[in-house]
This record gives sequence, structure tokens and C-alpha cells, in this order.
Amino acid sequence: MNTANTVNSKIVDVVLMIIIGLISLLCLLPMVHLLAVSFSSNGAIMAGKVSLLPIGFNFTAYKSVFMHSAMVKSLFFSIFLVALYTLVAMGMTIIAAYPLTKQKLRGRNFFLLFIVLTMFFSGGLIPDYLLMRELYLLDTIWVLVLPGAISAFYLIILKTFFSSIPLELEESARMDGASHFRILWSIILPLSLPSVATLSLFYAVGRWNGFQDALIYINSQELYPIQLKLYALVISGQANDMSIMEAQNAGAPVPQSLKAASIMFGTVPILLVYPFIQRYFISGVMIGAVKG
Amino acid sequence: MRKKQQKWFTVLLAVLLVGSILAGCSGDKSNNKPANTSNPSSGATDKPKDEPKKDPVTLKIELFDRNNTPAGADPITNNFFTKYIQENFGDPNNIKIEWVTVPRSEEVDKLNVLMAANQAPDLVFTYDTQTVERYVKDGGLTDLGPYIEEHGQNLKRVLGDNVMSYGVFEGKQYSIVAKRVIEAQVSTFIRQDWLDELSLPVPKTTEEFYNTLVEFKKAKPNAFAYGGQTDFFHMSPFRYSFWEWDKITDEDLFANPDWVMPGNKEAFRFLNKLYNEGLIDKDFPLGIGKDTNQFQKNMVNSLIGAATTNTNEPVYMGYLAEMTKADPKAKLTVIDPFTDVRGKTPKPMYTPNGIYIIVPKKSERAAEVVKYLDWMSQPENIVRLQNGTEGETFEYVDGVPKTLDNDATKNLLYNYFDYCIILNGKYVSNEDNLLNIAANASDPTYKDFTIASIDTGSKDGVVKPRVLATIESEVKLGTMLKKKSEEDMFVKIVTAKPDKFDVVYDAEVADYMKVGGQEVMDEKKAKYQAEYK
Amino acid sequence: MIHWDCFTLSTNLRQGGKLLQQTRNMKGQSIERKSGINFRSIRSDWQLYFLIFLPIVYFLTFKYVPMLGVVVAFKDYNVFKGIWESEWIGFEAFREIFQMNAFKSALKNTFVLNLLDLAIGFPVPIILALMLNELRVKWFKRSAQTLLYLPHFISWVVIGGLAIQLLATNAGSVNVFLNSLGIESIPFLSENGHWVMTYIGTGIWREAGWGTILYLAALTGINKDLYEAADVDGATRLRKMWHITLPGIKPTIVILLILNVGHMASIGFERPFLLGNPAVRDVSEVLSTYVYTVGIQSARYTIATAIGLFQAIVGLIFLLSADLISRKVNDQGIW
Repeated sequence: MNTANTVNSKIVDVVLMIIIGLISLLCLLPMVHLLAVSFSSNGAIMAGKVSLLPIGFNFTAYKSVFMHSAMVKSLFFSIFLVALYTLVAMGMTIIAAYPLTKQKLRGRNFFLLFIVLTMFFSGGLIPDYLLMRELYLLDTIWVLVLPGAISAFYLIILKTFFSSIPLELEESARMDGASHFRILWSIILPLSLPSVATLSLFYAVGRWNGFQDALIYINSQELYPIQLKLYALVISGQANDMSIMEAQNAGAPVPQSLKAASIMFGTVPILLVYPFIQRYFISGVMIGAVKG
Repeated sequence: MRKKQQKWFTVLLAVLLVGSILAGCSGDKSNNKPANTSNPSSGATDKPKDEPKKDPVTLKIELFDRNNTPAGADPITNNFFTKYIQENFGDPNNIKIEWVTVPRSEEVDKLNVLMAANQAPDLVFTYDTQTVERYVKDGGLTDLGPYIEEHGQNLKRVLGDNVMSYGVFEGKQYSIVAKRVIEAQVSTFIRQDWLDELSLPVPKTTEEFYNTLVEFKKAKPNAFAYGGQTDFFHMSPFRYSFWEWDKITDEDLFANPDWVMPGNKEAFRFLNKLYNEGLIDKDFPLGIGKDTNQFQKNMVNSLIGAATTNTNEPVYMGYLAEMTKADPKAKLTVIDPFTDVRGKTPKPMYTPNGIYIIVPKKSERAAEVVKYLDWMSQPENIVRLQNGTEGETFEYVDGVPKTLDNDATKNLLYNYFDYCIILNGKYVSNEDNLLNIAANASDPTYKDFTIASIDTGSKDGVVKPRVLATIESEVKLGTMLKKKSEEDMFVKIVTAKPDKFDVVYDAEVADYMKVGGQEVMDEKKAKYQAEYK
Repeated sequence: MIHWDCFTLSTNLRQGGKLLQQTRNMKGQSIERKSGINFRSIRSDWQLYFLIFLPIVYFLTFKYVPMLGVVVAFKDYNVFKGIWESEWIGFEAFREIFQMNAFKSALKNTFVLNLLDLAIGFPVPIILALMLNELRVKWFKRSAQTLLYLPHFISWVVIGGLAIQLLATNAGSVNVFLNSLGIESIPFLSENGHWVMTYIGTGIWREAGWGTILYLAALTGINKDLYEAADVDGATRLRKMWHITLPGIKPTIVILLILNVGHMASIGFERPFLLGNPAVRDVSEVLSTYVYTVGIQSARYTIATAIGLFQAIVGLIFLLSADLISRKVNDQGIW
């Protein structure tokens, strides 16, 4: 019986690997295409000849991007912004999620409703802007950190993860006189590393990719996140009413290779974060060093 | 694990704390203090005097940020142009200029927000007529008439009465409008080498054009005979040539939507025929409202026989050069085949107005704004703001400034038009328009094509009449109707099956009138009659 | 200080479907679970309030204060008069919206697309996560995980362009290829039914890999002992997946399902806008694109806000209903 199982298992393994391999390839291809475009010559790109390999290999696009001090500065600023934001956001989410796991906390249901409502109702762009102005947050880094600090969505997910930690661990700690702060720090967090890492990643990626707020709240060039600069670049030359009216003024169009190189420039840094946090996906953290 | 975690955490926290303090400081330096825009030490009618130590007045000017500053170029808020303006306008008038950047892609959104929050600069601009009309209706703009009378004589001369009139809303000059130098919209061209190959003459009428397309398709079945750009805007000369102009009065031209014009249905019937016979790109609906680069790709790959594009687009978008590089035999000839029954080639033209320059009511710098624009209209300033410095970025050729082809030019003139905002296009002569067209030829290799394209694009041009009153229903429904008309209806009607064409056309037009087309038309008729009868 | 001696280990054993909980301390002796409230827990409540205080301030300041602006839906908003001085028009805006056929069509399309996304797209990350979990070749698993999430980082602007290049009915690469094999072109983007499938498909392609991350995180929380026990019992991989793995991530699945149902009335802007085109307008015009044209491009903030308010109320009702049902069925919900 065991041998049949093992053979079966091996077949299943191979089939799984093939399926997942194909899907992974499908996911990889567009990136490969963009990479190829970023290294190709303009003529080849315009003719649509470039698919997965560069044609007319050159570094011009990347030279333009890297030598552009504004782009490079913006990159470093964005990295810093994301780090700051993730810390603030994750911190706030954690201290909000933990109390909400306590069923008997008075007002818990009210707090939950209070938070859930914010997922749906909002006043819109202008009231938000007016508030930022009143709080003197406009054109500062904090307007990119504070307003989006807690996502109700992620908060509820984190609360769910916290709730799955067995109560006994907490209760025995409290029997020993541990404060809630201590429990959160020493028990809940270490045991929640995978979920905390995941949500941190979500926050980080959200902040990295997002630029709509910077568009409206920021004026200084130094505070432009990289995606904002890229967005303008990527959509330049798009046909719409405005550009038609400006057609004669448009000037030299942005070459496709530069657009692709900029996309790479703005995407690769954040891609590197996930492999980094994969190590926190350690299974069986619950067991720790203890074995019955 | 825990100890390492804690150490990591503390280091990270320390770095972030220090960094955030630094970032907060650098942000503050350019922080727009959200107070009122008035300067307590001077009034609104500050007269420039050579008096000692009067505090300079701050003038905030909007500046589009297209995020396309070349590497090595100065930042847009501190380059040759800003310095020239400050030194030659700001300093002599005791004005300090502050540039408020707005991302080009979101200009309407951001403008609305800034206006709503009283954060708008003193000099603001937009291309969108309806936005300006709305601001006028809501009472948010300054009447610039009196200021222009006092400070704007140069401005009036350069722009001219016709252009100035486009800035009049509800009887008052709420906006100063830029002068559009090139009024042609689109032009058509054809592959001369294909004509030569098939021994065909250059088509001069719609019928000849059709026959040429059929021949193209027979000879090159993989190509698109009439490859683009198949959309409402570019098909306008085609449509206009089917209209029965002797039946159309000025009032009709102003008030009626294109859909009910006599002859419009036949134009679409013909387009429908072209579609069903495979003479135009059947995938055209996918590109409407978006830029897919598909057209450029097809051009470069010699898959297009004839096309209608924005005037001079093959040159300034660069694909004419690429196409010639790929196929040295390729040659384009500008043609003008869409003739109507009178033998003319009517085409819509841009109204002579470019961007709308406006001053929010809450601003106290209206006089300074007008002075600035008046200063800008002086000939030597136009030359400098459009061309840079003589010897460095331009030289005089036959008395006309011509930009040089060097790095200094590339790093400076890529956005000159964001500073020289009273003009839309290079402007070198008040009298000879061909000189102006020549000045706008960006690529000397294709100068002939450029001139032909723009010249043809203006021939028999039609400008729709104008009414000074605001059309309320258009302000409300305009954008929606435009989208319905130019995207949905256009596609549905052109791609309809030939035997269903009439039914589809009539049904679509009826629906258009029902959801607002009728309302707008009625109001326009009423207001036209009120003004002209 | 926590004493490791009292660190209890909780083991869940499934026996005949019933959940048995045993607790053992380090020495392996069973101990009684103390439950109930002692006076320490009441006193320590203040710590919880202290923790949640700052987040509550955050929500009040950044969410509830601007929420007052929702009153714009009931006023004829004049940008210069401001929110308070603008004229009150009551439900006028809502009446106008509900009369527009275009609005009703956009609403219907929103629901249809979201429902399909949920029915077809929701299970995919779960299945993928389970498959990834089964992989035993570690390097392959790691690489696959990293590749699968790549599409999430490509903006819809780029994807829209690529989609048109590949899927155009006449000149798209895929159809050109099919034609060369003698197969007729498939109107991926130009026919209503096909377009919907393309819409769902590209959404899955972009988000499924990214969606597995949360489930993979949940999977790490499942007790390894359970698998060993099941091995001893001779369970096949499928049985293990069904009885251990799936139930292990059930809380995550349920929560995400509820939250997604709650967002049924809202829809992203970029995907339908960039994939859509006039040929399929009847199915591609959704509330977000509708608001963009009517509300934002025409700057009719009243209409835009009114539609937003409508979506919010509908969404809330959906969420509360989903939560109620879930609590009855699964004994688990948001609350």
C-alpha cells in the first residue's frame, strides 16, 4: 500500500510541478517582454518586432533613467517613504487588532462597526483635501503616511489571525501576571510573524504603487514618489482630447524603451521585498522549542 | 530570534526617526503656507516705483509638470526661463514669482481641488471650456476686462480681437485666451510609392479615393488600405464632405449635433461600406479612447496605404522617420480628396483660441497677472521664451528664429510652451502665416511634408459660429454626450451589418437626442436666435 | 516574565469529526483549563483601551471628519461657495441618477462582473495555495511563489496595451496564430460574452498569484503534528488536504469571502476602463467608469458623491448580511 502511495505521490508531484510551472511562466512573460523592450532600439519597438528578446540591444534607456538625478532621488525617497509608512501602518494595525480579539471587551462590537463603516463611507476628494490643509499636512511627507495608516480591511484580517492563536497561551501567561502589552509583544507577535509579514508586505506594496494622493496633496518635486513620475511618463503621448489640442506643442515623444526602462526602475525594488519576507513564513512557529 | 528582532527593530526605528525629521524639514522649505494669498504689506494695485525697500509682492503662477525633464537639464522651477522672467519682469516690477507645479495628467482634478480649497495660484489655466464656464457660473473668477484696458495693450495687439472674444463669458472678459497659431486639425496622406507601383494617379475626389483603396487592397491584401485613424475626430473631413452645405444655415451649424446634419447619414453609410469591405482596420474599436501604438506600428511596417492623422503628426511623433528607415522607398504625399458637391474640401478647424488663462476671484494679483502677460507679448520676449538664447539654442535664418539641433536646445526647449502660455505654437510673424507654419516644422528633413500637411489642413476650413451666452445644458451634459457620440455611436454605426445600417443609425440618433441631445440643441437654437436675430 | 514551564501546548485532534482538545504542559501532564473572569482581567481592560486609543483617534480624524463631506450628495455643490454654503437639493441628485438608463446598466454590469469575479476568481488563489503547499521540491516552490506574484506589479495601463496587442480580433498575435492553424478568430475584446471572460481571466492572471500569499501565511499556522498523526492513520494526500489543510485556513477564507461580498457594489476603475472599448460598452460600463465620465470629467461632484453614497449603503448591507449568514453557518464572522 505504501509503494502505491509513493508512486502516486510522485506522479502527483510531477503533474503539480508542470501545472504550476506553466502558470508561473505565463506570469513571467510580460515582465520579460517589458525587459526586452527596455533594451531595444526604437525602430524595432515601433515595428512591433520585439517580443521576448531585445532587438538592437542598447543601454540608452537605462542611461537616461539612472543619470536622471531626479529619478534616482525619487527612488531613494520612495524607499524611505515606504519603510516609514509600513512601520507606522503595521504598528497602528497591530495595536488596534489585538484588543478587538477580546470578545468580552466592552464596546468591542461598537468599535468594530465604527471601523467597518469607514470601509464604505467617505466624503470624497475635496473634504479630504480641506482636512489635510487644516492639519498643515499638505506638501509634507506625513500626508503620504498618516491618512492611509490603517486599512480597515487588513485590520479585520489581522484580527482574524490573532484570534486563531490558542487562548491557553495567553491565559497561562496572564495567570503569571503578564500585562496585555507583554502578551502582545512576547506571545502574539512572535506567533503571528507570517501574517504580520504578509500584511506589512501588502501595506508596503500599496504605498509603493500608489500615487493618487501625492498627485493632489504634494507640490514639491522632492516629495514625488517614484510611481507618480513614472505615471506621467508612461501615459505621455496617449491620445486624448487634451493632447490633441496640444498636439503641435507636444514636442519629442517619449520613446517606448524609456517607458519600459522606467517601469522596470520603479518595479524591481519592491519585487525584492517578497523573497526577503519569505523567510518569515516558517511553519509550526507555534511549537517553538517545545515538544510534548 | 527575539533578540535579533529587537535589535533590527531599534535600528530601523532610529533610522526612520532621523530620516523623518530630515524629510519633514526639507518638505517644510517649500511648504505652501495655507494662509490667505494676500500679502499684508501691499495692496492689489501695487504700482511699480523706484521707491526704496517696498516689500516685493508674490505672484503665484501655475506651471504644468510633464515629468519629462531630460537628465542634465535644470528643474522646471529654476531654469533659464524662470530666471529670465524673474530678472526681466519680476525684478523691475518688484514682484517675486512663485511657480506652482501641477501634474499635466491630472490638471483638471487638481485645479478643481485647488479652487475649492482656496489654494489656487493667481494665474491658472485650463484647456477645458466647460470648466471655465462652470467657474464663471459659480462666481469664482475675476473679471479681467478693466485690468486689460489699463495694463494689457501689447497683449491685445498680439492676440487680436477675435481671439480675445473667446475669453468673454456672460458679457465679461473672464479669461485671457492664448492664440492658436496653427488652426488646422487633421490632414490626409497616401503612400506615393504604392501609387507609383500600381501606376495610379493621386486621388482628387472621394470616388477616386475609394477606387484607389480598392486597388490597394487587391494588391496588398495584408495591409490596411485606409489604415486610420478611424475615429470621430479624424474622420471629420470625410464626414464634412458628405454634408449638404447649401441646406445648412449658420444657426444649424451652431446648434445642431453632427448626427442630424443633412448628409451625415450618407457619410456613415460610406464608412460602413469601407468597414464591411475590409478597407479599414476592423480592430479600430479597440483603440478608441486609448493610445495603443497600433497605428504607428502599422505605419512603420508599411501596412497602411492611406491615413488621416493630426496635422504633421507623422513628423513630430517620429514614425515617419522610422518608416523611412525601415523602407527607404516609402514616401508620403499629402492629399485632400474629400470633396463635397460644391467641389470644396470642408474641414473643421480649431477655433483660434488655445488655453484659457484665468484668475480666481479670491486672488489679489489680477493686475500683476495682466502685466505679466502684457510683458510676455512684447516681441523680444516672445522670441526669448520660445527659442532661448541666440547663438546657444537658436539663430536667425532669413529674419526668422530657427532652433538649433544641439543638447542645450534639447535640455531647454522641451517645454517652452508651458512658459510662453499666450501662444499655442511657434509665432514669428503677425502677417505671413506660412512663416509661422515653417517655424513649427520640428524636423527639417520633412519640412515640405509639414508645410503641406498644415496648409492642406486649413484649406476650406470651417469654424462653427459662436454665441457669447453660456449653454447650461451643455455644461451639464456635454462630456457625456461627447463620449456617447464619439465612442459608442461611432463604433456601433460603422460596424453595423449593411442591411441593418439604417435601423441602427436611426435608433442610435434617437437615443442620443433622448438622453440630452435634444435639450442641448433646443437651448443652443434659442440662445443663437437671442443673440443674432 | 513568562515562565516557560507554564507554556501550554495545544493539540487538536480530529476523531470522528469531533474536536478534542487536550492541553499539556511541558512535562506532558494534563492540566485543567481555567476559564472565566478573575479580577485581574477587568483591571487589565484599561491596557486594551490604551492600545486601541490611537487607532480610534486616527479613524475619527482621517475618516469620520471628512465623512461629513458626504452631505455634498444632497447639495448643488458650488466649488466656490464651499460645502456649507451650497444650496440644499435633498434627494434631487438621487432621483436624477435612478432615472438614467445608463446608471442602471452600469449598476447591473458592476454586479455581474463582481459576481463572476467572486464565483470564478475567488477559489483560484486558494487552489493555487494548496497546490503550492503540496510541492515538495523546495527551490521550485520558492521560485514559483516569486514568479506568480509578478503580474500584480504591472499596472493596468501596461496590461491593457498588451492585451490589445495579443487579443485583438483581427491583428492580435493570438488570433493570428489561431488563424494560421485554420481556427477562426476569437473576438476576445470585441464581443460582449467573450469580453466578460477576458475581463475575468486577466483579473485572475494578475491577482491570483498575489492572493496566494495570504493563504500561504495562514497555512504556516497549521500544526505539523496533525499531518504526522494523519500519516500514522494512513491518510492519502487528498484526505489530508481535505481534513487538515482546508479547515486550517477556513477562518481566512471565510473572512475574505465576507469582505469581498461587502464590496460587491464597488468596482475598480482601471481594469474595466483600460480593457473596455465602445464595441462592448453594454457590458463594460460599470459604476466606476460611469462616475468618471458623468461625475468627474463633468465635475458634477454632487452626482459622483451621490453614487458613492449609494454604493456605500448597498455595500454595507451586503457585508452585514454576509456576516450574519456566516455566523449562523460557520459560527464565525467579523464580529
